[in-house]
Amino acid sequence: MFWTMLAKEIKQLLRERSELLTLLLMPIILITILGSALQGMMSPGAAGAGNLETAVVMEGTLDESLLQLQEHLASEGMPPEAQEALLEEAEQVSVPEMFAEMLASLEAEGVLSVEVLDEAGASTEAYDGVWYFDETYREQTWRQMLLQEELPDPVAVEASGQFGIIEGITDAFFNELNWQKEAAYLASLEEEAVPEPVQTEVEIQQLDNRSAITSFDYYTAGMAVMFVLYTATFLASTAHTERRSYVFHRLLTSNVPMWMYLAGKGGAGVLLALVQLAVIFSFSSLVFGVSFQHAGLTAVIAAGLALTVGSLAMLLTAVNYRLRNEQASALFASAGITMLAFLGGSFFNVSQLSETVAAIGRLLPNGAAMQSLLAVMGGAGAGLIYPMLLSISVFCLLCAGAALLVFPRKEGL
Amino acid sequence: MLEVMDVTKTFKERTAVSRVNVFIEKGEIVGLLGPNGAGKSTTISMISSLVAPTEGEIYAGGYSVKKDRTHIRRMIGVVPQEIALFQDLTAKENLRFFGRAYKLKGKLLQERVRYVLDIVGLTDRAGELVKTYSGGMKRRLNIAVALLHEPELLIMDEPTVGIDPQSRSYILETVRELNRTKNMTIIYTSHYMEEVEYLCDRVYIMDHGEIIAAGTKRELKAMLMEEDSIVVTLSRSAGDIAEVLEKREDITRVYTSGNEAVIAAKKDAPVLEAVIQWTRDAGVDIQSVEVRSPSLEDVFLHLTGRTLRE
Repeated sequence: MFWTMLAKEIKQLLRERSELLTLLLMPIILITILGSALQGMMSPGAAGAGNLETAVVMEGTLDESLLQLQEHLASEGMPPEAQEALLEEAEQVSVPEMFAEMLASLEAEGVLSVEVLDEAGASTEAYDGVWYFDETYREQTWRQMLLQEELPDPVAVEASGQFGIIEGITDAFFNELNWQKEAAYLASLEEEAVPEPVQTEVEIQQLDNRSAITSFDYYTAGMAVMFVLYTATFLASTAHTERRSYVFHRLLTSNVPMWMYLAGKGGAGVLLALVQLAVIFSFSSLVFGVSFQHAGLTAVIAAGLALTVGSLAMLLTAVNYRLRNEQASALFASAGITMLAFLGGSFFNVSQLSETVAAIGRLLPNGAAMQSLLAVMGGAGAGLIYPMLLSISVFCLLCAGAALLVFPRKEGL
Repeated sequence: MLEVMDVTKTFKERTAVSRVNVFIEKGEIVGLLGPNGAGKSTTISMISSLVAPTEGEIYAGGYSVKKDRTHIRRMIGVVPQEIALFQDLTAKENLRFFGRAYKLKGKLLQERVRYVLDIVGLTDRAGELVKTYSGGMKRRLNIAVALLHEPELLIMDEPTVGIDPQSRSYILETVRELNRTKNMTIIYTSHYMEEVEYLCDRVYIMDHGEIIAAGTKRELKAMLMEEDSIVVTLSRSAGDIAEVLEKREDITRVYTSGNEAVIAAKKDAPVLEAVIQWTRDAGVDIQSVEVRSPSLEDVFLHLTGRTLRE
């Protein structure tokens, strides 16, 4: 009977054009519109700028580098007075220190957090972005700036899923907050001609296998976790129609247990949600090149989300039956889903508004699923989806338990 | 076959059914008559095991509704007043779904679906969505679903509401045929008196949650053996005709509705003269006059002072 009920729900949905439009076409349209519109503005990692964990790895200390420079100057036969003056100037324009200072000011503004690491403690796996300045970098940049020698080696930068922001910060520092300004200052002190701008190269690499999140990635996750919830309201709404038209009573008089009816709704919710997610993900993958990196983890997230929909369908059905009207599912469809989607970050990253709101969002099954999807899209491993699995397990148990408690057992249906 | 003994159903403060007794033999077609809100549907819900009686006992085929719900449900078929069908499925899909709910499978299910489609005359339209059906076709399919598992007791709650005369006639003939060929016991509720008169061997009349009369049609009509019913149709509203005529001793009661007045008078009483006098005084023309023997409608009117459709 369970499978008969599943088959019936699927047939009904396929013949409900307006529902199909909501469940499948709307998310696809919104992914297209939002993904395209915000493609330029949003480098999605942008989505999580507030949570950005960064590190600057500086090999060697400033004093060691100054000593090396001094040795170099001495070997070049520079008089001691000239050496002293140049070392003073060099201390003022040490690039790694200036860069760390700039990151510290960004940290003070709440944009990111930064740690300065030396070589020994440079375990960088936990960071979204890491800048490496090797031990020769200071001396090379000084010699390029002050002695017009060869260009320094490139700065090594590794960026995670927050690739866009790391790249932006790097560009801003090395191009716009430019060397020319510093060189002009130095030149003015010596009343010399302004030297050529220093050309500093930067090589940015993605960290491990984690890749940048595009706006299409972001909204594929956001819209999928939002619109999948409408499947639950659809099922609860059909359940209400079945009660009103006495189809449910007819099922009872044919000895179908009440729990079987609820389970049928739950099972249909799971199955329909899986189909819906498969369609949305396939579309985004084919049309917008959204990559889920790890098919297995994506399937686990989709299954968790589908279980959420199933248990929610059961709860909404039970409440509709208890209240003898459709208000519960209608209210959830009109306000509840929008609220959940907002808190979960389907429209934009709410951590930009408030970290508390974002934390609440991450506890919700849709928010947790979205974070997990983004993590998997960014190439993260299985560890990042455990919080989602916990959140979803708790939510499903609560919903299913509440549904069984609320669903009327006897008369007065 | 069915024993409803001193059954009462109370919802919070309201008593929907009070001390109802119904006894039905196998193979009988029994009518349950009453206006809306009389307690018919609650009684049927209790017999169907959907609602538990507050007091009293119900036995069907020897099984108690309270204790042997599963058995009871296996032996009854319920045709609800509502169209209890999936509108987005075809007739065949609906029948297969409910057939599986009745634990029918494979060939047996196919045979039963074919059989009931044939009974209700929908074989040719079985592949069409129910929402494209006319009201009459939906009603017929509604009956077909209840017949899938070959019930011994068929409970039909207003099965002909809102359909065309042709479909109604088809349904009435189907009910008769089922009773004749399968010896199926049928409880038929309606507020269409002529349907009950046509189909039923015995009738229970309910009002305000109570059985106010019971018996064969002949027994019930015998209550009015000493009366004639005169139906007068006027050119405009019957107005205060009741007030005027009810003063006469030979007139038992007068019921008016729109342009029609139904006058219950002692047999052979000269009431036409009085009616004609009233129309003259009121300036109203008589369009038709019919003198008829008492019907179940008249019995109901006699018992409750109201018509069934009020």
